[in-house]
Amino acid sequence: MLAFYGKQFSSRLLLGTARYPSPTIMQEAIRASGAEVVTVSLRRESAGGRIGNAFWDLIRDLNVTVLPNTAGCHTVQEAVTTAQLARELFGTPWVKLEVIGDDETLQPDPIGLVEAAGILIRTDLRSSPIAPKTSLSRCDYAKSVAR
Amino acid sequence: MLVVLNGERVEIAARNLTALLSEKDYEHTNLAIAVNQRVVPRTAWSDTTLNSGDQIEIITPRQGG
Repeated sequence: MLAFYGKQFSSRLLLGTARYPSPTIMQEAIRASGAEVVTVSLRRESAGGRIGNAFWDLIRDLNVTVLPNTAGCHTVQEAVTTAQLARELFGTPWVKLEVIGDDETLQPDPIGLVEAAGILIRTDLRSSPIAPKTSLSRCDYAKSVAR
Repeated sequence: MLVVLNGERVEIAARNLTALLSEKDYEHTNLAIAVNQRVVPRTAWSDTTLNSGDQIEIITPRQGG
């Protein structure tokens, strides 16, 4: 059993929604996996909202918990704004927090991550920081951020 | 007036966010909007006056990992 912020899940698997060959295969893969949490992203919309609507309809059909991410954010401010937009859009305080430190390797910026997490926690967003491997486990890392 | 919409400088006639969505042919569902890096709740779109130079971000859900 897996628990995040008091919510329990029978599957420990978290799945992304990118890079599937087709939307249908994405849906089938998520259903077959048994994952109850899927990550989604936010993007600027230039097609009148129709692309986002089509994707969101597919996710809603799955009846899974959505974990929005801040992928593509390079600064603390970008990540904070994106997380707040995610809360507005998805109606969830959860966020998979990412602040990119290196464009080529996509390694996170741990200092920026801590700063962004601190800001978000103070606004009652519940973040799951994505940090480089250190001697701290992610759980300990998140606790250190929360303090 | 000139604003920055999703990173591009554009000329708009709209004076508030609801009018902007109509002017740019956005459907009003599954969108979130920030103006000058502040999130504007959906309930405040029609009351949010736009000014020249505003930076507006309109985002929707997408595939991601």
